[in-house]
Amino acid sequence: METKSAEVWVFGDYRDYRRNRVTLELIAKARELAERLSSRCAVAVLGWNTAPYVMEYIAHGAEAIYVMEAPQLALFRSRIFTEALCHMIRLYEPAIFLVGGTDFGREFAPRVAKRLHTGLSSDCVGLEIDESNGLLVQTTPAFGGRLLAQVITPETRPQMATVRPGVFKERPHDETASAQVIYLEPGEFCQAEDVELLHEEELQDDGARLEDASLVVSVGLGAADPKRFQQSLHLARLLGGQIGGTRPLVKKGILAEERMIGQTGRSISPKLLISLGTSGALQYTAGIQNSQFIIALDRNPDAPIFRQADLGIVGNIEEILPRLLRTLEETQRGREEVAHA
Amino acid sequence: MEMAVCLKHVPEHAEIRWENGRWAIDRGGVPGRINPQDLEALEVALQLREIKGGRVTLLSMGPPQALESLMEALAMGADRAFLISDPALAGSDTLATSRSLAAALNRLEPRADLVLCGCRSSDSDTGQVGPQVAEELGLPYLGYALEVEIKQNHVYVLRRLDRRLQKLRATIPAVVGVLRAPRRPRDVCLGAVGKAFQSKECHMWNLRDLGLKTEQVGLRGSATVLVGLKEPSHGRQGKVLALPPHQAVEVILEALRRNHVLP
Repeated sequence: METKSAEVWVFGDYRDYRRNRVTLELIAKARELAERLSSRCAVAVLGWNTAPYVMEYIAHGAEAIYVMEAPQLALFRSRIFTEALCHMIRLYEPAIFLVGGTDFGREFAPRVAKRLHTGLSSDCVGLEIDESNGLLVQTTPAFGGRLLAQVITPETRPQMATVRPGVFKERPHDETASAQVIYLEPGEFCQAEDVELLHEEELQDDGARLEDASLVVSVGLGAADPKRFQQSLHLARLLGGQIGGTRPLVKKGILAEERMIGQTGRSISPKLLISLGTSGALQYTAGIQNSQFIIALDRNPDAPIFRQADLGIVGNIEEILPRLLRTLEETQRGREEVAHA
Repeated sequence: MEMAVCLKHVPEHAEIRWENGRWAIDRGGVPGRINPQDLEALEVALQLREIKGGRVTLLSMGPPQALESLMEALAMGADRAFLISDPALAGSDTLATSRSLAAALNRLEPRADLVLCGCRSSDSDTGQVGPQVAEELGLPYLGYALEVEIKQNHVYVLRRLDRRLQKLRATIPAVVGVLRAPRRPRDVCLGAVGKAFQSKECHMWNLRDLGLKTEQVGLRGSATVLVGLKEPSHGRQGKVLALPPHQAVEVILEALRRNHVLP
């Protein structure tokens, strides 16, 4: 039943390479899984002029690269990519195929899985090999993140998962690393696109800054009055961070939709999150789990947010927030004076 | 213009309990609603009908309670509804679900020119069913749609994909996954649900009506198997302090320093 090569494959999504690290994160994880299976990890790269990315993937730990180059593959389009990937997978029969959970990844991976009649789990936050049978155990959030489901694909291959960005750590860049690079002939399918891209523009996306921020101040209903919101905004600015918040604030028109954090909004992964007056509804907490350290303030000692926080403070935001701002402003002024002295 | 909208009836909140050494999910007695993104897809379909004329057909796969959502959607203005319901469908993963929905779409008379659905469901949130239905039907799929237009035999979609705004075009028939409708979904006036119940077509289809075998759906027709449920361990320190304001500020400053936000 086990496939002949049983490699662990990663989809090489190199768009927005500097910022979008999910492929590198997956290479690190795939390498670990491949070691457990005594096989190797490989990246499937489709596109045009991909050489620089191939080099990058090798430096980040890929042991093999399968490359298909064609001008028709220059744009990431889900039908052509589905055809090309299915062709590659049928040829080499990897045991596992991992795709970064970008919008594109989550649109095209289901089509690959469907065409190969195999299973796919979405937005995985954990991947492990079950030592007893060599199967990939895929951990995926269920019920709005309240529980984690563990899913396996026992019969069909490859075992496929889309993976939440920011969950795994990329390996350091190693210029001395080497790998086997296999070039594949693009086939007829490169003509197969059924959706035309008429126009594309980069979004000057406010929310993107939120996703990339290393510090986020997030506001919920408990700090939604105009004064408190302004103070929260001021706090974010003082600390060099970004402002975000919960769905009710978007509904009230206080906060722009692209700054909504949660299951249907943005998933953030800052080094530090300060969560003000957010009770901790599931819809919201699904989007903050990748924060490294969470400080939560709320007046209700039983608020579920405290179970998700590293440091919870039960208290009156209306008193704490202005006092905190005053102290921060004073410290900053003090630092500036020292600098000018 | 024949349009089909796939709707999922989702629980408002599932009751999850630890029982006899396992997690039990109790959906019984929990009120359900139309999956929010599917509601946006329905709104898009109704707006297209205002411009183009034609018919909006609803399709849902789920337990008999899903009729509530279909009735509500009929009251919003859809023309007819089909519920695919069969005990054999229980436990279907997205592979099996998309197989059933595609089989139903293939049986609609006349066939839909445009199939619309939400991009994701609020309960399982995989975002996989739309693309997989398109794949099964061999139709173009245009996801994350914010605006949908029909001109002659083409569908035009404005969508947001990974920090890009894209304008797409495909020949119909096609499947469109809707993120948001340009206008807020219309409200249902009181009494409209009852009227819809009396005056509109609502059909039930079981597995045999779809021409599917039990091994193609449900747990047997699924490639993924759920082997466990666990509570997330956030690995958080979970220190909770009730403090007067001046002490609270001190503790926060200390945490900012420890996390290198402040020197």
